[in-house]
Amino acid sequence: MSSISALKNKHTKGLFGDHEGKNDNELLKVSELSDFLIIQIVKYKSSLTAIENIKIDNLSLKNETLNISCNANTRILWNGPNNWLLVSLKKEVLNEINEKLVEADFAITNVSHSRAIIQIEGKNTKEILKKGCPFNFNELKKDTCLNSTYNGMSVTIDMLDDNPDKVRIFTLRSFGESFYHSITDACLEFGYKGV
Amino acid sequence: MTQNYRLDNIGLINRDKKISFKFNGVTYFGYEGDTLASALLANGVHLIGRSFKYHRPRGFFGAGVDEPYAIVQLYRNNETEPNVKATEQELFEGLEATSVNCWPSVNFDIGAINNLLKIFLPAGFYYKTFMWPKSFWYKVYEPFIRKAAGLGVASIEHDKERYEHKYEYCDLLIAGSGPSGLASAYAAAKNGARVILAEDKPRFGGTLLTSEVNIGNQTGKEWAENIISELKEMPNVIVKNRSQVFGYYDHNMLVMSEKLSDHLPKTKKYNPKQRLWYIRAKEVLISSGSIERPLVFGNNDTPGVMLSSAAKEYLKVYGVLVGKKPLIFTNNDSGYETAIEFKKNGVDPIILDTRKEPKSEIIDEAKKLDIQIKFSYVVVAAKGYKKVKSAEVAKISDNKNELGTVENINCDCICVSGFWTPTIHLASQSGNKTTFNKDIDAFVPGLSKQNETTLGAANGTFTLEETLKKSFESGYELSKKITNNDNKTSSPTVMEKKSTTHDKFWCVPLPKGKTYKRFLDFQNDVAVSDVEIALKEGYRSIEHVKRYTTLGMATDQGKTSNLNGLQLVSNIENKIVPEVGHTTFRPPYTPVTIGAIVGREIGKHSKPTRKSPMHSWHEKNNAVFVDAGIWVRPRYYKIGEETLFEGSKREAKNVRTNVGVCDVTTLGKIDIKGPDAAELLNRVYTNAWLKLPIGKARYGVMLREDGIVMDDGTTTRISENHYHMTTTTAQAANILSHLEYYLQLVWPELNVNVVSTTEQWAGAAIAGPKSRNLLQKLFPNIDASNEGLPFMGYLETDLFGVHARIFRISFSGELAYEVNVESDNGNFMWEKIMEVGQEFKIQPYGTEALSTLRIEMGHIAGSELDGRTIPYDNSLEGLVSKKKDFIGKRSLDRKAFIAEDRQKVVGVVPIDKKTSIPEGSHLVKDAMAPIPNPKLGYISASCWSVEYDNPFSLGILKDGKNMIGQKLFAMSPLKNKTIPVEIVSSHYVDPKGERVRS
Repeated sequence: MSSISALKNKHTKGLFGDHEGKNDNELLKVSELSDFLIIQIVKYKSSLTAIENIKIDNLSLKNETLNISCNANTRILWNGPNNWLLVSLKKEVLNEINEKLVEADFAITNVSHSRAIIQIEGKNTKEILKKGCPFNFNELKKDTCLNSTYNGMSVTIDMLDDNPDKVRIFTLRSFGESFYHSITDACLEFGYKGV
Repeated sequence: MTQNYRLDNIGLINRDKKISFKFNGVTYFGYEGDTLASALLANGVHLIGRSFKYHRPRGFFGAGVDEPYAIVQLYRNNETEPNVKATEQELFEGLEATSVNCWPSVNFDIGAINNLLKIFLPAGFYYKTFMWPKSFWYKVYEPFIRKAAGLGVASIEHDKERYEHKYEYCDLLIAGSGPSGLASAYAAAKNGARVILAEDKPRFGGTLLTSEVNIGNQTGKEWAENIISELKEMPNVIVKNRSQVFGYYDHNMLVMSEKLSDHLPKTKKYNPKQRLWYIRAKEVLISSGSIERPLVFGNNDTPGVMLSSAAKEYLKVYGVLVGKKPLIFTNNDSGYETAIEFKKNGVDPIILDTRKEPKSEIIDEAKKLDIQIKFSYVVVAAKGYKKVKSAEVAKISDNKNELGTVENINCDCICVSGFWTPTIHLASQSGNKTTFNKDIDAFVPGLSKQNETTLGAANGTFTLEETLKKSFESGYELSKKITNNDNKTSSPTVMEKKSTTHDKFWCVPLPKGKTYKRFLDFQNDVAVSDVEIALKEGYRSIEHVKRYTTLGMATDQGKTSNLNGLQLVSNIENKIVPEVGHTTFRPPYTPVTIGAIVGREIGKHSKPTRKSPMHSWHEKNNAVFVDAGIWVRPRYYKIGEETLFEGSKREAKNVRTNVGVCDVTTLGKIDIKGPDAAELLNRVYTNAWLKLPIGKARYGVMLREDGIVMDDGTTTRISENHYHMTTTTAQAANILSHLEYYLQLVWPELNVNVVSTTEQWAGAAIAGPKSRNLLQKLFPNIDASNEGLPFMGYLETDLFGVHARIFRISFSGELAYEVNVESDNGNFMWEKIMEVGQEFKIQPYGTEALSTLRIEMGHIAGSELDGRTIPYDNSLEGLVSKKKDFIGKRSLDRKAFIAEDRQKVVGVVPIDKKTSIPEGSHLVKDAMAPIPNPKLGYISASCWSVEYDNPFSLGILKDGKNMIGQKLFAMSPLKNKTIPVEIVSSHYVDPKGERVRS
């Protein structure tokens, strides 16, 4: 097999930390996500194209702070004004992007291999985030996202669900090992299950 | 041991749980809920340590954070911690503590000789004495002072505990859970605000736990318990005990230290011992209360002298009598409350009141209880050495200057009350302009600079009714401002005893012929006489007086001493206290462990590292790593017992003769797209970029606006409006920021997007005369000939089914290529290169060999682009366009930059062809010239040339252009070397650059 994901050699499955005597619902679930299509989409400053008319995988490019357009396969994260990060399980979405977002108006950059992605799920998810990231997570709702740092590493955090809390954290691939250690170490206090 | 000082029917401790502990090796018993201080006092132990300077016996002065000197060395779970206040340390089974600042024991301390010599050790003694002879400082004075000083010993073992950090946000942060804290928290929480209530002690309620008050038909304690229970149930409230808000910073950011396990024998596995909270609050309510002020008299540091409020707290919270013959010395009504508690518990106190004939409800109550009261009386001096045995007392004149006949009263403790000092530390740290309140003789918060409100005693309000009323109101108003809700909670009815005014008297004059030490600062042994000396010696600013005498310094931060110190200075200087001012209140308010500050950022978490997708391969193949910024890169691949020198030489030699492969993933890669991409490059690089053909790369140099070289690298045109820029590893992030800055702020008209793709692509440099053969085998479908893929050419293809980019560029100066594949395939690429390359004797090479290869080729890198050189210095003038504009162009015309004898990069070879030249060596003309020997230049990088098998260096040399062939000296004072050298061309190998184009 030629492809090795960022945390392939680091992520370990099993029960860790303060897990004894706790049922499954009380534990955090930590997993590595890989094989996503990740595309940065930027509309050029002078482009007059109306983004309201564009749909990618039936999702619109919302220019609303921290907002996410999403369906079961694809999530388009607001990354800044006229700047989005599309994350999809469907690789063919790239063809649709190249077709609909013309070169004269948009910069399309494939960064699928440039991120290590960790998913955390469980009622203490925000407690883990609060240990290393100065963002106000009390106000982070379902289907919103943010860019910040976690223990000195730049991250993009995607809030997938809030019952229980479930987040995807993207960091630069080269930081993967350090980031994985940082997140799993933070989880030890609550007990976690590597899945 | 029996607890002779423990009462049976009073206190909040859990008498069902007995706890054993050791102090100075002796086993004692206490109860759950005790502090170390209360448990020791219950056992009749008053001598806990020795003072900092004079080694005088020390006991307990306070009952909490106000304690200046009951500091111990703590032992817990095979670890030790210095600087622990016995008054704050909760008792746990197996606790062990020892006294500090004494030898061989607290009972017999050799250092106490200082007390006999105290006349020779006034303020400023150290500054004056240890100035001479100069040579004594390092060998005699410093070791001696270091040994003698300190309040405990820091452990040299690794701290195995876990410490966590937490970032939190709230509408209202309330520091302190006394009456004002509880009331404001309750009102705000009921109005929907998100509230954090922090209390430094284990129990909530503050003075409500010890006051005889009635709130809404409940005792103060009951009311506090009910409020706390309700707050804990509310989802919008975080209630934290054992949590000290110790620092108030800009933008309403406060830091709180939460002690999670310090009260337990052992921290639960995986759980933190302490957690440091960074709290950003929309509004801050400071309800930190006040600290009782001492009265100053002779020997007022004797064990058994303590604050009257502390004595009451030991009695009401812990059921402990601090003495059985108490003398209460007061200038206000608070002392009476303590006396009444003693009386109610079967102990007869004597009250000395400095006031003449005060009248109040509480004084009447004391009289009714037949408590002996002596008005216009003062304690002149405490008698006793290791414990108070009696007190010398005297009547004092109305003007407080004259003492009457000195009498002796038997007593075993002296409880002092000099009124109350509001705890304004947090308010002051917030930038609040404090003001002096003459009614209470203390500073109180004034104009707020941030969203901060101070309530209750911390604001100088000492009646419960007013405190509760204002606190309920503030909690409601501030929460309404944030939530827009309008649920107002009304203040309950309050019954409390009314007090009368206090006496401004604070310091007892010395009787004629007596030289008692009257201490102001108990932690630092600063007496009235020390401050008097400081002023006599000309110190006027209170900040200078503080530093000269150490008044209010160290861990105590003047909690009990500051105001009396100010009073003294103002008296001597004949000023009013506000004219003297106060010293700066700096965080932390109380000591915070280094562990809590550091948090989890230790070991591998101390700094994040970056690793390439091929890192595991490098590890498995004996790579010795080196930090390159935060990247971890292979320095060389060790075979057998090879040294760095041997290994890197072997690797470099193999590149020159066969082929080598180097992991270059770390090089910065920036994807540049947009209709104006070429224009952007043309503006940031010194050379021309508008006509670069698609499929070709070009070397470029970027300058800062001051003309200094910022970075270099190659940029490849992938398609019409798409470029791939490479930067040095070190400058990758800076260059991206640099481009973003210009695109967003300077050239907003350019339609260009820049994004880092460093992580997207794994890179391998294949270098050496056999690299083309290897490339052709790896990519059989391409034409790898010089025509098919010329120097600076680029193409895209696939590597055994994996998409790949090939750049014909070279840093080693050899025929070379860089292959990029998407990072998930990086390891696959590397293994394929190694597998196919075996036929060509391929070897991986690390940064050390890479450095050797570039140095002997005269290729510049970070050590030449060191923030001081311009293009000319690096022989890059050919890359500087005369026609177009670019960042830094105008700066290059500056006089110094166009000087004829401008420095230039040169090659440097030792005359003996054997001695390696240390990097950083100075290049001088005359090795014997007197110091300072005029420096002509310096060595920027050194290597062992594998081409010529001798040392070779690059140097930056003044007038370097005309110095080729000159003989100079390379001097390294650090390495104590002087090496005769010859200046040669920086292009030591292949000066015509034929290999890269072959």
